[in-house]
Amino acid sequence: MGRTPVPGRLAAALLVTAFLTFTGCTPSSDQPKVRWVGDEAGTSFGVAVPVADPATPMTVLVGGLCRMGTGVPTVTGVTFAQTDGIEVAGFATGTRDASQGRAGAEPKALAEAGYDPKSTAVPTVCGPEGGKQVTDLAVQVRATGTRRVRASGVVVSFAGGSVKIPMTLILCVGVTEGGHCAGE
Amino acid sequence: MSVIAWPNVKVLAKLKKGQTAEAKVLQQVPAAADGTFTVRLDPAAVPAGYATDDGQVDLELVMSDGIRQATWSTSVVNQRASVSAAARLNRGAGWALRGAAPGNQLVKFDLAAGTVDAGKVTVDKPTAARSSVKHLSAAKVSASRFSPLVRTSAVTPMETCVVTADKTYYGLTERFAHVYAWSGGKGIVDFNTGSDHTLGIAISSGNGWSQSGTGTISTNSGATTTGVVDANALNKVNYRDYYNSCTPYTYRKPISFNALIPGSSFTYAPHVNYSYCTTYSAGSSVWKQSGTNITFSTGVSLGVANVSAQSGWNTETKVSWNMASKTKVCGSTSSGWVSSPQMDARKG
Repeated sequence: MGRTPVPGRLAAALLVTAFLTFTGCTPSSDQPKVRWVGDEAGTSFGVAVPVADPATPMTVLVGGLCRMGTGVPTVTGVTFAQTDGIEVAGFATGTRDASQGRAGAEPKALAEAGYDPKSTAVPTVCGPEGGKQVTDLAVQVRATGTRRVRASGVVVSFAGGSVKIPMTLILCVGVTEGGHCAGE
Repeated sequence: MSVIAWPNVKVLAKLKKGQTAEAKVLQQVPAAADGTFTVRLDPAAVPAGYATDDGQVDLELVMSDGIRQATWSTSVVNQRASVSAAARLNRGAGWALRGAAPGNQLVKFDLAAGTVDAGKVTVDKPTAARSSVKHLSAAKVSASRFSPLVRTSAVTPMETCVVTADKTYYGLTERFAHVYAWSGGKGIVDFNTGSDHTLGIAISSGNGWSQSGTGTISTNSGATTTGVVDANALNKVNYRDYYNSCTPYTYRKPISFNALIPGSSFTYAPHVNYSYCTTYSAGSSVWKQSGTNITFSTGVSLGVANVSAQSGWNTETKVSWNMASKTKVCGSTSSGWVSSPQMDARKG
């Protein structure tokens, strides 16, 4: 430092060791990998939805997925990392133009909500800030409790590993039209 | 490049006008052949009393070519120094930038042009090859907007610098978020204990002021404001002037919160409709607990200069919407509201 002349344009990299907890992606080979589009934003979020009757199927949009690497990966399983009264009854992916809206939660089965239950592919390539196409992951859930039930951490498995989406889902069972399901 | 640790913000805030405290030169880093510097800071090298209880250290980087000098301030946090064992488990090791996306910070000093650009934060995943480092514009600070002071005669900091406290400025307005909502889906802003915001520092050598880096302040109390519709979310913050004998500049630094999200002071923000929407039925709630919030480049008006304000939506600062009617929640990027830095809620 000090009196040694140096070029006029200088750069300093303030290195802070970054051990990022990017949601448990565990790739194991050269197979294509699935990522959640919210990874880099460091986001966690939640949705609380009223459910009139525990027998009512509920389809919830978990979020967007994208792929890295060559080939189109498929989702092989979806579970909750922690659950207290919510089960996954099915899942499906669906690709759409990003500007087309989608329901966040509907008291319908996957097919009724517009998803093909046989669709599990993630064809959308990951890119900065998303692209024109979005591959949604939807889960059909059911409440196994009778009041306010909760699950968190959606674990999405694919052939090369898994990715965890930091979502909290709350179902307020028995809350009818006009009632409110509060978040946390 | 000299790296100076300032006394922590609690020490600075307690000084009476005219009282002094010591800032320590922690490192003097020579330039590589290509003009780059890398600062690697051993937590053990930070003297006692310079870090806050939760591990924050306020650093100033002073760059000189022997003729000219520029400075940049930033706050870093020792991730293993949290007061809570649970929080420690969730943290990694080493240092993290406070109040920004995780990763390394690249600061470019252009002494010839008289600018400092800290506009890029690099994110480096443990599982990724070094070559796949990504660049995010998480801290958008343009060189043209901020033109830190460049002295025409270099000053080399010594082992200890004397920092002298001067006037305090109470209750300055900090704009840190837009909350776009509607009558059928009103917003809630939660500001919990431990929330921190990263605010601009202005410096002067007597010929005008400009922003030169940021400092982070946190709170040990919380607040919630409900029923927010189309508003600029605000805090009131306190700033104070300090003179550093080494550089020698006057710094107007953020020292504390004055009032947390005083809803009655929120100002109107005309609703913006974003394009990428998800619809929720009446009775639902959604919330976002972390992610990249925008940086308001003119978030705090200091009178002498406008400086930046930035908060992440972290576990301590959260925005929610309660939907009394069917509502669209929309994001500013095609990734949707969860991953977008800007979002709005409107009639579904």
